[in-house]
Amino acid sequence: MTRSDAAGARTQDWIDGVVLCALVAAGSRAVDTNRDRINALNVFPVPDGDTGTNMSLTLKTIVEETTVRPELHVGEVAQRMARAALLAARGNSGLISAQLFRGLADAAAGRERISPSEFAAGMHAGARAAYDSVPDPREGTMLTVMRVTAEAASAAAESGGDIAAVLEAASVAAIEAVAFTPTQLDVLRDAGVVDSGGYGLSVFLSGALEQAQGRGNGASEFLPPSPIGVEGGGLRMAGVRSGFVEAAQDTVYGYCTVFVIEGEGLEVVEIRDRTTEFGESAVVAGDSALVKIHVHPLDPGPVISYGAGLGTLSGITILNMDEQTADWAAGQRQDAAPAVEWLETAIVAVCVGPGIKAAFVQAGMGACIPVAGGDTMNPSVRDLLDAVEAAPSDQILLLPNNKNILAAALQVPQLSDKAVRVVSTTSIPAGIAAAFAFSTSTDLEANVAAMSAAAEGVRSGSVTRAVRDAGVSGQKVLEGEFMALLDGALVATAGDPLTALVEMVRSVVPHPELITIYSGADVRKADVQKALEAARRAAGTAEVELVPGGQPHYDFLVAFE
Amino acid sequence: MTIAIVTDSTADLPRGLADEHGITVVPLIVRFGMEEFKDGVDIDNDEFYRRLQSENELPTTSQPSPGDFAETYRTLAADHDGIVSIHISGKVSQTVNSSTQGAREVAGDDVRIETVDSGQATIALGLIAVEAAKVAASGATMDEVVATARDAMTRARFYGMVDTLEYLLKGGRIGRAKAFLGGLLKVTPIITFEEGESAPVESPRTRRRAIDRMKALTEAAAPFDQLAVHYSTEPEEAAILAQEIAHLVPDSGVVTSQIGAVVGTYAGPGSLGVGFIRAKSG
Repeated sequence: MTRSDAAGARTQDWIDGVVLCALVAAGSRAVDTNRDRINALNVFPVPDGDTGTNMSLTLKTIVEETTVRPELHVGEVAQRMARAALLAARGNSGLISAQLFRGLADAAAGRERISPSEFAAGMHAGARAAYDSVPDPREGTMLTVMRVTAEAASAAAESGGDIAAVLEAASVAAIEAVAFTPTQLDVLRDAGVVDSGGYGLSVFLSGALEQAQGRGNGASEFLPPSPIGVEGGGLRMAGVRSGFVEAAQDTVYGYCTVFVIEGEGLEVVEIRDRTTEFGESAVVAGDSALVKIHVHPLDPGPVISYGAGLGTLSGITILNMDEQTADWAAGQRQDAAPAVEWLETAIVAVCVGPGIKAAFVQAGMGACIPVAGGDTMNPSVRDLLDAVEAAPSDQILLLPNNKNILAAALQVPQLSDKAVRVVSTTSIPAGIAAAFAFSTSTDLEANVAAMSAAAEGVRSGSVTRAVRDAGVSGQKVLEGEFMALLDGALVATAGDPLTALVEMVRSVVPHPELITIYSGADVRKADVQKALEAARRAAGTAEVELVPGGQPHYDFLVAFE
Repeated sequence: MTIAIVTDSTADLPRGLADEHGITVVPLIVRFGMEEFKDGVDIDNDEFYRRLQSENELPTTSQPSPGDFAETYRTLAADHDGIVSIHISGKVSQTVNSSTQGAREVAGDDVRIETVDSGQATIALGLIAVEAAKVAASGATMDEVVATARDAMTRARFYGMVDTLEYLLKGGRIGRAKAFLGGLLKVTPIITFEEGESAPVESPRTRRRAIDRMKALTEAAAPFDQLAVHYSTEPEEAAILAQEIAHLVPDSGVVTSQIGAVVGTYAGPGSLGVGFIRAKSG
């Protein structure tokens, strides 16, 4: 029965053959639209980036094979879908999602139309069939998402919800379950992503929901939820960590082998158990007349011979996953750094302020990647590691540029698969001097030596306002006074930053060759020019340069070299 | 069996060195407005740099015509069995294309002509041509001379510091050295040729440091078969640099070369550098 609610929107409390076709077609379109997003998250069981493609092709075939005919009962439609799904299923995700249709077919058998609670029961049966199709079910995958989704659908149906309400509950539960998958499966946590198959299923349900609610056009974009249990997860919704990309390439995955056995009296459970002996990621589903096998053997021959002994084989596909993985990794690298060429060596420098960043970039001749941080905003080890992993090189020179960040930086080399060397810079002026000593023409160790020497050859000065009365270097400094610190020691105090700067410049004897001054974000433009002139007068023979650094906290940062 | 070696004026070979090794140099063209000069033939280098710094409009350059090359090859074909013609990187100049077209007109049963894209420029190209000429003079076959040139290419490099990137940029030859641009601090960029075009090496803050760094880079690349110093407008600075790195080639001595008008159009005044062919390792 169809009725209208107050808002005029159609509500539906049953599903017949036509409605089921429409829901599945809408879900299929949604998966197709979001296919690349699903592919991009694919790291389990094999990081080959084809989950979305497999699900989309499986669903499209189901839709194509199930022509909409009003006279067909939902039981017959579901039965046809289940058979088409089994035959068309591609990859792990395709075969597991096919079980949803198996469950629906069982729940709808012989029925003209089904109620919301019968629909939910079908989802339950589908989840059970999915768990049964895998010899070694793992939580944190599509299986978990199917189970949780079915439970939510049942609860909604029990409280009297219509089809849209059941699908809405299922869809919301699916997204939530997907977000939690990194807490259940280590490989997802390591890669910093949610499960791609589960996400694909949530997209399918979201598409079906739009159809049930009479909105959307099947081209909606459904973004994956942020991974829970992954530090800084919100920043990395769709991207796979680059360290994982590299590691994936070193693992051998073999051949994705899929085929159908047609025969008599086939023992699905026994075939499933035997299939696990041939390789990883086995998924086996079907009935006594038709069984579909999916497995990842290193050699596809034996499992195919085994199948041929049981019945007639068809639909054999064998894909070299090592090639797929390499392609996927190449694609991920491109995605991670569009327009940036792969470098022999890259510099990752912790700094803040647009002019300071620009100085690092200039010094690094295009090979320096700034990562935000400094006083009062120390980046975590994870932040540094992520920046290192994202940098377009296998060899990284890490410049912490702050004594409070040095300890975190020193953790990074052992956590990264890249060759990471920390140049122990403890101030911005020393860090910039180190970056200017970088050479594209020498190796990593020679760069570490040259950059360390450059950093040690710099005296670092700063001018900042005291935020409270304090004793510094045995002298009392009053709140609001400007302090000039040279290599951490107080060399001058003054009522204004310019005087403090000039006092400091004068105090450095013998005169250095080069003095570089970076003016802070709070320094007025008029004062910048005055500072340069005053510093030049105080600097004797030294060459003085001043550029706007835009850094917070410090009116001036100064390098004496 | 005699093989002639041809290069172009971007090799910045001192005339004495080219003559000593019997290397034929085909000049590129440099133009100030409508005034056209053959590089190193019609215009004196010092006169060129004076005009480069005094005139408002920057000069332009162009490759020799295929006809220029054909004429050179025809002359050489009279008393040679083969010609190996080694040129500036095809990524920054059409010269090697022009030489290949010229060679097509002349090459035949009497004379074989091979053109080689050196992937290099300035004195690094010049030293590759010298390596090839040495082998040719010892009676090597055409294939041996070409192989020698290609092997020398793998060991050839120059490091050059420029006072300003303005000339490289305005001349459209900035290549990967564009990584130097955009910063506010004053630097004296050291560039090299990488994969046939300008590429950044280091960004020293002062000229004095840049010269120190070039010395260090040169020392790190030793030992050498050949070593040269090249400059655009500061011969005294070049002489000091040559003296300071002379110990790296005790037998052969350091070649000193003035950068000619065509390369000078892009390097600008105040340029100083080193070029070398590393010794074969092992």
